[in-house]
Amino acid sequence: MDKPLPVITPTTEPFWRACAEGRLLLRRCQTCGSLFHYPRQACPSCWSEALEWRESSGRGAIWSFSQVHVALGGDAWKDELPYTVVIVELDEGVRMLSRLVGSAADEPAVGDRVQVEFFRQAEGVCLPYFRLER
Amino acid sequence: MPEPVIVGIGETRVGELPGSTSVELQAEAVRLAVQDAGLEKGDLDGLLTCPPYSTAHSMLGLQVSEYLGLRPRVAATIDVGGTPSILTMLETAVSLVRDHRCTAVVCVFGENQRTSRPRGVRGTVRAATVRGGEAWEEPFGVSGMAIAYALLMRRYMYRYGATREQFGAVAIAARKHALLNPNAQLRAPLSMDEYLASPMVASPICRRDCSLVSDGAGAVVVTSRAYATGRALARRAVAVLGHGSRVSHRSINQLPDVDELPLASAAAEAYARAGLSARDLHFAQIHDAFTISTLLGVEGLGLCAVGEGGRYAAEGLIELGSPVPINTHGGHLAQAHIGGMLHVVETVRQLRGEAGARQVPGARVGAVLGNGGVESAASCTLLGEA
Repeated sequence: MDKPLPVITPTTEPFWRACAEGRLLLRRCQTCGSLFHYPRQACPSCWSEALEWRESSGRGAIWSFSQVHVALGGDAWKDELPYTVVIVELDEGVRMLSRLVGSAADEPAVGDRVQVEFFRQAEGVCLPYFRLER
Repeated sequence: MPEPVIVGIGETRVGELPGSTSVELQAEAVRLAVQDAGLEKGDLDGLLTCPPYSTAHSMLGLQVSEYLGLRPRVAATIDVGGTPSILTMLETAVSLVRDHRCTAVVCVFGENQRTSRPRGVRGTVRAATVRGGEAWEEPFGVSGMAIAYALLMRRYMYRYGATREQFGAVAIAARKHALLNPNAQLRAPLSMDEYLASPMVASPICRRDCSLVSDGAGAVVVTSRAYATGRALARRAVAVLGHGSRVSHRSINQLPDVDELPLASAAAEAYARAGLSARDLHFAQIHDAFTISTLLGVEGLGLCAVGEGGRYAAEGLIELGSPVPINTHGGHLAQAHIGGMLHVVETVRQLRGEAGARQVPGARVGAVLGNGGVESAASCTLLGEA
């Protein structure tokens, strides 16, 4: 089974293009100043359409994580078991669902510092993964 | 204004029902509920259903209605997620009866989630993936519900210091209750050692934290008290005392922190509408997709303080024999996972005094509290003696 790729639309294309260039972008509302992820056409706080892209530091802390041991809902990820899914709280205050890469031997802890690392999944598609800071 | 009451319940066999289809199971549950009420096919002028998660259906309300040979005033499909779907159907049925739009409305849900799974697939099957918000989950290897709930459970353990034994107490209680339910999929006791030795699915969720994957269906019939009295219906009517709901998010990547989930708001609204509080409950049924849901549920209902759910369960306070037993039928963890519908059926059964070996003595007020998605939407309905 093929791994599912992100659905890229005109609204989200700049995010994925930046990932392919090694940059992590967040949406910022020019009206109320809030930062958000995932990219949407209007600010979820105030519905303003006046939005800009902000580059994230790519650094943050693990907010929650799970080490996956069983292939669920199909076998697309079977070859990567066990793998670690994380919710990262970026230093900008925005949370993002992602994967933790690096040594899978030890489970991390909530609060551990992480840094973004881009992983090429397919031609032109890079996923923002995270790695524990050294 | 007519007073809506629940007058009939239907529950098919549960577990593995090879050869069944979702529409057949739903239609069977409708017939059982109408029969139980002592009504006839011709009395039904409303049918509300919730679509199966496993297979895609278009205009399911019309399909089930047609299958049963009905020509109702209202047939609709309601899809919130989990138990909120069921309780939103019930609340809609109540409105239709109260507003004189319908005489008798059936709410039904069921599917053949277990036997419709392709060979070798673990966990639940969803009809559609990688749409909308899921575009930010599936490509990262987040498929099915266990990983999403694992992220929630880890956060809960981090915030409140909850232990695996506290989650184990939930799984063990569900098994004890299912042993007293002849229509339960998993009738085997569970020890704490077995729970702790159970293999990890997505840490910290082990196999025994997960609810069952089930075939089966359930239904309830709502009519007015006047209609029920006029027809001298066979069963004791059950009153809908109050309902509340709240929605917060959909995707796991938008999960609020564990003290900001919508359960407590839904319960508070239901209590306010009924003029009741947690002290008035004789039992409660909580949507237990995973053991974490039960802990969040007892907190949401106000049976204990926020963050105390683990200690509450470990003290045995969710088991039959305690002042407010939880999931007396065995719940999704041990009876069957029929999306919360059988939580409602069991509540009616307890209030009628028909729960057999698991009957809560003197049960007059019960709550159904549930979440859909990953604690994304919450609904609470209080039922009581009519």
